[in-house]
Amino acid sequence: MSIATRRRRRRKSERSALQIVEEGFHLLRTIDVSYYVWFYLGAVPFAVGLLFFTADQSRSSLAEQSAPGAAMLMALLYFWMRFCQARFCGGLWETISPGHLPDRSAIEKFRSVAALFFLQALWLPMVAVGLFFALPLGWIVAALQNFTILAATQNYGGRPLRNIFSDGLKHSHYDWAQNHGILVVMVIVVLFTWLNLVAACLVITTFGKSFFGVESVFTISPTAAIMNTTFLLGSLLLTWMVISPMMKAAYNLR
Amino acid sequence: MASVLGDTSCSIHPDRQGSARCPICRQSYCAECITEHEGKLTCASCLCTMHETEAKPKARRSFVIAPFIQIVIALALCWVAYYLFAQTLADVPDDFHDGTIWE
Repeated sequence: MSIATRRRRRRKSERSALQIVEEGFHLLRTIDVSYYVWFYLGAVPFAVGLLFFTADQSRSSLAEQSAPGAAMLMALLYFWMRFCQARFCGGLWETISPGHLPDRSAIEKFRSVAALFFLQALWLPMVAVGLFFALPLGWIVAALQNFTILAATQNYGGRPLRNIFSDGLKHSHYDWAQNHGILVVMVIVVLFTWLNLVAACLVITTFGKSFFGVESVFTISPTAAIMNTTFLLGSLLLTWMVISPMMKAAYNLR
Repeated sequence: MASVLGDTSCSIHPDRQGSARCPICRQSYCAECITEHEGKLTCASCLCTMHETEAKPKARRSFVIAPFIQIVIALALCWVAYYLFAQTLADVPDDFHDGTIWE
């Protein structure tokens, strides 16, 4: 059998990006609520912290003095969020294949978490490289999602860092068309979710003015209200909190 | 040696004749229970003990140090990233933050 025929057959048997997203959505509907609690236990403090950090550093006159401490607090909140996401991914994995989570000792879990923190600290440089060269962005995003999932679901024993990194990259190369398909679908969903949020803010405040005469920044100066960095970041963070579980579910299934 | 071992039986399988003696525990073993490790005949339990004592100090050292180093490096990288982000935010003009630049 030629390589081309084998590839064609393999492609036929694989699920499409839309199918993966649909299955991911169904998975999110079936998982235990406690896994959501874990996810938002990490996501909400991080989102609130980032919003406060951005607002404070962009407007406060004491920003320069508070920057080192605030940056450290943000780094800690970031790692806490990543830890909670790993717990959430473990929950998704447990729902997909019950009883298949490895039985790890506390020290093995600690090593995996440390490896995860190290790899996720490279998130910004990796995504910056991906955005600059554009082409490898899809693989980088997939690898970053894989790191979280693998750290939560696999037992790598003595060398988790090396194994999570190599396996994460290896899995990110699996069926590139499906991976990029998922990302395209997610970008569209993100865009419409964000537009929905912005529209909701505008419509509710306009109704508030029409029915009750309540003035707000959205009715006085809609452009400034929407285009200011606090509102933009807040709405993007809300969108991220809605979409991120879906991304995790899709990459768990992939 | 063979004549001495010919009189003894395997310490794990008493019904079998001992074919070699482990140099560590000095017990006789049949051909099935003895194994070769680095050119020496050793019984399975002594081989396991050897492996454990060889592996443990190394593993324990890396168990303690490596994750902490990873966490410290990760924390430092993130701190630098957020600090630079804060500096960038401070450098951006106020009318951009307020959104009035677009009016």
